[in-house]
Amino acid sequence: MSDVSRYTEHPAIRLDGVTKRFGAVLAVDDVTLKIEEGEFFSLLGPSGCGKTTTLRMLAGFETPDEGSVYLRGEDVTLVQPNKRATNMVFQNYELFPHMTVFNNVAYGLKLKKVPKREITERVNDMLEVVGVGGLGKRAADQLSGGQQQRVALARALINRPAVLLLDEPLSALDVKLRKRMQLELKSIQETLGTTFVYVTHDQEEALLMSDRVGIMNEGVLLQVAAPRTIYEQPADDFVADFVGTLNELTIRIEKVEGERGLVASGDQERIWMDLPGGGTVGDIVRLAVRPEALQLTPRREWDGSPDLSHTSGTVSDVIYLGPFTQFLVNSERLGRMLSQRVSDAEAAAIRPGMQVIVSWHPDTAFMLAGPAADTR
Amino acid sequence: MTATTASAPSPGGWRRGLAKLRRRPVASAGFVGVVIVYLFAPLIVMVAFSFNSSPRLSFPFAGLSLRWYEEIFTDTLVLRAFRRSLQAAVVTAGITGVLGLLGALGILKIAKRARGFILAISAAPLAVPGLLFAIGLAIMYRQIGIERSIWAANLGHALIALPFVFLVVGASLERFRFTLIEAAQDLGASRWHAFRTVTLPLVLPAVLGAMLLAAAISIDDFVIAFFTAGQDKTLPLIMYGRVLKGIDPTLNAIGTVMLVLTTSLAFMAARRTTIGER
Ligand SMILES: Nc1ncnc2c1ncn2[C@@H]1O[C@H](COP(=O)(O)OP(=O)(O)OP(=O)(O)O)[C@@H](O)[C@H]1O
Ligand SMILES: [Mg+2]
Repeated sequence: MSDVSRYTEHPAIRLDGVTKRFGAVLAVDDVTLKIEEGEFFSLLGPSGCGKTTTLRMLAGFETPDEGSVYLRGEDVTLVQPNKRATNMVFQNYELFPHMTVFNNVAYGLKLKKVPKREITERVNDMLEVVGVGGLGKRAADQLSGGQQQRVALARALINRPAVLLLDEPLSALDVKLRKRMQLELKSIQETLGTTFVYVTHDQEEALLMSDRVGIMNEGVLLQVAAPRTIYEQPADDFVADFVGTLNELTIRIEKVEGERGLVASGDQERIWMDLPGGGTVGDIVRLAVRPEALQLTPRREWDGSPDLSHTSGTVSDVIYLGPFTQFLVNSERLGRMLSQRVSDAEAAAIRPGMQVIVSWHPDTAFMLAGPAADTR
Repeated sequence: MTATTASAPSPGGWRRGLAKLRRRPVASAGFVGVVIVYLFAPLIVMVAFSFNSSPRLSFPFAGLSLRWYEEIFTDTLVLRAFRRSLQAAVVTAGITGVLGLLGALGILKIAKRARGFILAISAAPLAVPGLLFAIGLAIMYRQIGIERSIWAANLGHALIALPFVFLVVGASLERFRFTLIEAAQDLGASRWHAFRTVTLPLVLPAVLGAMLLAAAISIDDFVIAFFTAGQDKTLPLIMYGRVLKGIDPTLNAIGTVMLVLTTSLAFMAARRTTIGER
């Protein structure tokens, strides 16, 4: 459908040292980024981190103060939005309320002077693709949120943009619809092969849908990687903390064995950590483990597997979340820890007040940089 | 400020009084009835007598007839004045519509705080008696050598109607979602095309409503026309002339025609501007 092959020698988007200020606010700070043709790329970050501003610079609504924006190899830094091969799905959809669904979707094609017959055909096809076929004659302000979202998508996609920009397109929908639309968006993207740049502050959404994710904070692009890498090997503390939940363990090294550090104090406790740069006894390090990597075993059933890191503690709370159950454990040495597992019979057997061993495979833990300043 | 003397009418006292009225439906209905009669009695009398077949302006009615309407619609003086009034209304609506839209659009590009100030300034004429504007205009026209005419009066009407138009259009633009324009540009529209296909259709109802309001203000105006229209007499001026010669039954007919005109304009204006609000 799109003429991808012609452009494959250039990435769909290249940002080169892009900086944007609003008065004293540094909204986007020296962002350099390449997005490949056909990629589903997400920009993820907390509110106010500069995601929308970045997207608006791609669309042409903002001009960078420094740096350049390239679209399929062409410098478009100063090109007006109406002359760019990008289209946007706005957060509040911004359908034209005085037009029918059909005319909303046809808006871009009419501007391009596409013959009438072809417009009708393409609009109806596109409405089918996004799942609102038959709604063409409806007034745009008489649609449900989900329908509006689909029409907004159709209105943008019908122009066959080089890149589709989406600014938190699902944030106004209820959870159930959002989950469904996530899958649908992903499958539409795969079918059409269009490059998607997707802005969201929902980490689960970003991990679920994207080929690659870029994490932003305070205008800075911290890490760009595949979802699994982001989750399992976060580049820094912020990424680690922002994506998923994290147990942060502050530990004093008691023994060093080659490239591994060890905290050992009897058979109830033994914590391994990788020390690629080497380490010294007495160093205080911060170790991070995901809740789902933490196994709980009632203390009397613990068979003392020496390869697992483990510590003892008492279950203080059990939180049932439907498919998952979370456990808060107080460990004498490491403080509060959060563990999560599938809600099965074993999970049901664990009760508040129970003495447990918390264990994890050393490979699932990663070291956090910096001093152990703010222990939580 | 907590110690209010017993005699001072406090808002609390008002509220209590109203609440008492509300508890006695007959009394409150009577009260409302009196107010309505007071408000509308002059109009009702005027409309009623315009259909009276006798020239005597007293009860009882001699009979129903349209003779006064026949008289005014064959009187070239009245007809000419009628045409002038309509022309003034159309011209006023036109001028204020364009200026109101442009002004309101312009004002939105200005920073928020300055915007409030400018809106306040432009609304200030609402508080100034029309008579002062009329005299000021007359003096100014004399100074710069503009003859008294219906056109001179038109400009005056535009002047007094503009604040209303400004407020109505401004309020509707305040609610306008400007990201819609970005959406249009994103789809390939130039600024002008986006304005024509998105902004204009969406604010047009409010602008039309404001124009109808301006037309009603123009038709209704006496003071400005009195000082600036000269020999180009509008309907209110003709009526004034006749009143000076004694109450004449044709006045009732002219008055009724004006009443229908201005109220229907105002009604349409109200409908337009509320529809524009979605
Ligand atoms: N037009 C503007 N004028 C002034 N400051 C702005 C403007 N647009 C954005 N900012 C500021 O720039 C920073 C980044 O804003 P941006 O809208 O890009 O954040 P975001 O990541 O999209 O946040 P959210 O998730 O809340 O939408 C914020 O501090 C914001 O206040
Ligand atoms: Mg945003």
